[in-house]
Amino acid sequence: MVMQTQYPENVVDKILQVTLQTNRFAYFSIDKQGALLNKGGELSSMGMPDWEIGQNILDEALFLSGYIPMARNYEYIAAYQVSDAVVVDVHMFKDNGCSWVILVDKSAEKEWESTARQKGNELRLLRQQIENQSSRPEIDSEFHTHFDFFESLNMMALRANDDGSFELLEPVSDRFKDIYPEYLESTVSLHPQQKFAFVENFLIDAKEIWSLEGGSKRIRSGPWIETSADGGEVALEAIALNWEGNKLLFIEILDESYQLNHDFLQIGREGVLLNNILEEEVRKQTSEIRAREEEIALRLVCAADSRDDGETGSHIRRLGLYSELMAKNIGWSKEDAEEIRIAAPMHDIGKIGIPDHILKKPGKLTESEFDIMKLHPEIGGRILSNSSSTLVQMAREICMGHHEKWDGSGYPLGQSGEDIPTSARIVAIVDVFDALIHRRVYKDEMPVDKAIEIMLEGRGAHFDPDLLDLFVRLKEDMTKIAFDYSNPIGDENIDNKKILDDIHLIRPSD
Amino acid sequence: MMMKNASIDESRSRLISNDPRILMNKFKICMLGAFAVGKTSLVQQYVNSIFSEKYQTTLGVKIDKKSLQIENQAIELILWDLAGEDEFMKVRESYLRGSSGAMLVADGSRAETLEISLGLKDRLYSEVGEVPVVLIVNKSDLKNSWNIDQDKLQQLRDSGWQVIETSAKNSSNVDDAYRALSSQLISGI
Repeated sequence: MVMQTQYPENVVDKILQVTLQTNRFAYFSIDKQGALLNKGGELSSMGMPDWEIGQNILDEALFLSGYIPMARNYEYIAAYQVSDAVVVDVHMFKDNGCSWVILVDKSAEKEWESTARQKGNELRLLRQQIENQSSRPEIDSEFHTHFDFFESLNMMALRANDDGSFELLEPVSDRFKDIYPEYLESTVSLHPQQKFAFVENFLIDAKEIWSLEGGSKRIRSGPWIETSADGGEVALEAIALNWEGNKLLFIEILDESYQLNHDFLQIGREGVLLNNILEEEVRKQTSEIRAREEEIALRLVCAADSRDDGETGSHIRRLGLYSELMAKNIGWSKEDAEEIRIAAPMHDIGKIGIPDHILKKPGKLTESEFDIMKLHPEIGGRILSNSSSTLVQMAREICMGHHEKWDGSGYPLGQSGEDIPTSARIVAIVDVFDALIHRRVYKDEMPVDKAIEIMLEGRGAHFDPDLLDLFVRLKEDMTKIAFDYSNPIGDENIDNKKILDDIHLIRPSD
Repeated sequence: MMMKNASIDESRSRLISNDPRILMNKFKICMLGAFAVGKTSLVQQYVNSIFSEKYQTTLGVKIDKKSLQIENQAIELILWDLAGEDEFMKVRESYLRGSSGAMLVADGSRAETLEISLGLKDRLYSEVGEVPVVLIVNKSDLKNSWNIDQDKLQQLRDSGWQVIETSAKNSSNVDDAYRALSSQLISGI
């Protein structure tokens, strides 16, 4: 709300007198239809036509459009641009059925504003020119006539002397005085390198620039931070410029640009940190889910295999660990290697569909019995089919492929070479190895070296030769797994939870 | 880079001085590591005994000084707290120039920061040679969420590195880490 001040009459008279003396005015009045009733002042110098009394002026005085007839007692149009050179404030008021219009010339203010804007643009351009080195004015004349704007730019302009000191070219702003008060003591023998350790380091680069001949060169230091007298932090940047042999050093206080960059970086980095936290959380959750999956899979497979013989419970655990070790050594990702550790134990899940009298037969199977036994990969494949889980998909390909042979003589599909999935080729090797070195109801255990010797006879026929070679190279680790995990899962003295934990812990190359 | 060796010599000779007119030996120490590992917090804890929970990214360089007495010698550490390295920003090699040593800082709860600090060590060495370094594994107050590769840390220890677990938050081992680096610096004079 504007408070109305009551002025004494003589003061009002004086204000009017001064106002009339220092401003240009014009006025006119019109009736409700727009016919000119009266006019006076400097109408023509304010770009108004030479109207005749009685003439309707609404078509020419476009700034009155919508205001005449006046609905309110007073209207005001600020800074109406009559032409490029003339700007007026327009005041309108009603009086005895007609409208009075007073024009106050504001061209001078407009010119001042324009000049100020022009000056600002020039300063910006000049600064840009310095940075781009697109022009090279003579240092003394140009700097001292135009560079008084360093104060407004918060920039200290220095010229290097031969003795290592610096001469201050122009006065600096109060903000600089806060962080660099020494400048007051001298303007010809400053040592910013003693004040700022950062500048000391930067001058090494600056001297390289200053020592170059021909043309103008420039180098920026990048931002650094100083503490001001009030304890706040101030961001600065130094620019070394070789201007036709003049060794110039500018130190600029970075305000908005630094803050913007800082805020951008802060937001970006906070985003990355948040993303890291979320990823870590997802990793933890995934790991927990994977552990549950593994436990369920192992328990179900153990339940299915318990129809076979007690030994196979630990056999399937070992199979997972052997396979994981192989996978890691052929460059599988940690996640894929974990997947095969869980999937490999399901390789014989199809045996659930094999009748007991065949599955548990202690002696050699007849040909027809063996034909039935050979159905277990396909039965397992059907059990595990149509899953969207990559884990179950891998378990299915292991199920279907672990009795295939490299030379195509295996079953059920007679696949050969790399047509057999890698996971199945791995399990084919470790399954045979584990069976050979452990006792079964129908056979004794075999020494590791003997088992490997037998397996090598099947190199390139039964087994993928490269994978078998890798397996042999890993013999020591494989043997360790074989004997560290040799207890049947049905043994009441065995803590299954501990075994599962151990499986997680072993992961040799984690 | 032009005049690189001369520049290094010039810079280091100023910073590592036994000139009797200079009362203390001064050592430029760079804080190197990924962003948000706690470089600024370590410096602030060491120099001013303060810690702020809020993460404030560093843009550019901040230089602090710390005087200390070690093995009966007065020394001054000039600590260059450099902006952390990430996809947004790289450490300028010129900032490493003249360094007498460095604190390589990793965040124990962000495994990838160890590799970044070791990568920065390589760049430091290529700029100034094999100067003393200490590897700080920071944020020991959050140790239950650490995922840093302990085997790798052990390998580094076994090969002679000084690896110190610190917390800028509760100041655990912060002084010790700087003293460890200072001892290395003193022994090199």
